[in-house]
Amino acid sequence: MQYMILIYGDEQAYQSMPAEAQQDVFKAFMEYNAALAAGGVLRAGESLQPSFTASTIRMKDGRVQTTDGPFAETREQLGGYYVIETTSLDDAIAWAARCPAIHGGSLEVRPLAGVGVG
Amino acid sequence: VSSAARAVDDALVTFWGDERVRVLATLIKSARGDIDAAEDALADAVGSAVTEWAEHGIPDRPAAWLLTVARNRLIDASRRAAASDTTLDEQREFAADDTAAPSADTDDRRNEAATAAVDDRLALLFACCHPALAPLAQSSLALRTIGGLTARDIARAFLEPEATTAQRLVRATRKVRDAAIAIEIPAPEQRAERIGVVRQVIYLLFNEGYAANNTAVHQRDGLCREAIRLAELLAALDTNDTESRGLIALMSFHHARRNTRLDGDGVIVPLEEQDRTRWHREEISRADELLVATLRRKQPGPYQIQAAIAALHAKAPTASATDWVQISTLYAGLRFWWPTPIVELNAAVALAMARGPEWGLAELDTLATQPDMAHFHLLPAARADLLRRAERFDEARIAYAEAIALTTATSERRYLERRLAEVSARPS
Repeated sequence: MQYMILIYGDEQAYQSMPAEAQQDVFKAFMEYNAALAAGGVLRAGESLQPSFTASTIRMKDGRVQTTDGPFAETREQLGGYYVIETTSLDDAIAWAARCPAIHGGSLEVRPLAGVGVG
Repeated sequence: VSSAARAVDDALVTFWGDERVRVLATLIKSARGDIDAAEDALADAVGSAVTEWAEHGIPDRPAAWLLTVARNRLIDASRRAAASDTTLDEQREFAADDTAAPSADTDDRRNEAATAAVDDRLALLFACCHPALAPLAQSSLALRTIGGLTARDIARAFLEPEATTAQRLVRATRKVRDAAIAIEIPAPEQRAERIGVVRQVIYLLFNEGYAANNTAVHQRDGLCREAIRLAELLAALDTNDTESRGLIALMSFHHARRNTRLDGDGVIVPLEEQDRTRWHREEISRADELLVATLRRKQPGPYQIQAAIAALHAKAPTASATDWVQISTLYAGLRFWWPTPIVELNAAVALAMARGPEWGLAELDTLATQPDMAHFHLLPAARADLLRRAERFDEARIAYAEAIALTTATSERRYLERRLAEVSARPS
């Protein structure tokens, strides 16, 4: 079963960290990526640019309307994702729990529908 | 109805009470958490049994027969699904895996051995209680799969519209299947954080059987026995698990009084009026031995305390010989663990019995001022009872009427109506 791990955190908190602390976070993520790869569960993953770079589009009166930023103002923003493959939810949760973002943020673990787009 | 058909009926009723949960749990595991598919397959197998058994006789091991037939139904269903949608890899895998399962005609003996050895009930319970499910989804799912209750029964127990329960069940079953919640007993480290909910749900299952709400007598008794068996399986995982042993003892003390809880008309008989000669004494002694051995480990907890209270009731030779002073002390301890409305209420009643009704009434008046107690339907019932004991009959009459208006369970309401008639006949 493939699961997406959606990483939510406070961007402000990260951006206001001293450079050294940011380096530590980066290093922790590199180690986590390596662990996922070594465990044979990693299928995909990326981190995202800050949410102010996002555009939200929706259809209004038959026309595409573009607005800036994410849909709603929240304390935590989507900052990145992984796709991993494990046999059960518990295994997926165990992997997600090792993600450095768990300190101060939260992770959503959600099965992929498995329908695919290709 | 022919005697053969009646024998088949009896065999199926016995299966439903004693072995349904175990077979269903194994099927759900085979179906990789697809509860609906497993339930459909079992229903199909029971349907086949009705005709097959009447014709060819009841098999030596009905549960093994039903498991095998239901498993084959599952394989057929997944093959059909795989044929209609070949992009779903997991269904192909599932079909491939289970082709190895013995078929009804070829390898009955091997399958019987497997049925005897495998017990997935506890694994199913842990899956129902997975923290990825909301608390109400956990208990609803357990009541449906393990308790065998319908959405309508559960809705009635939770005092909510049936559509709400049904919707919650649809989501919960989908989540177990689609998020691949494993039908497994978790490793000891994860077990520690999940065992509290599991115990709570076991006790809920027991109480649903015990509450005499809306279900038939044999089904209620089956539910109680199933809950006790689950607690025994849970306790067997860990010799240091004192609370699960407390839970076994607690339920066993209650269950030993099953024959006296309701009168011939289905009206609740209060503890003090129950015929103690009809209590199952050997079950009480066994529960007591377990409790004493457990308390000696000196790792107290709420289930052990409740079991100790139940033990004092079960062992009192007469109602008036009940050691209310000790019970009242135990409730004071229980309030520390579980300051819930029902515990607070029982603590007040125990105090009344130990020291006099006025003491309990004063406690109840304090409780009534707390916001979470305002709509608690047992509060006026307890108050009415203490007012009756204090011989304040006019006030008791008003309190009983209030309690009746708030009570939905028929057996409880009829008890309250009986009391109301009694106090109405008394001059104040």
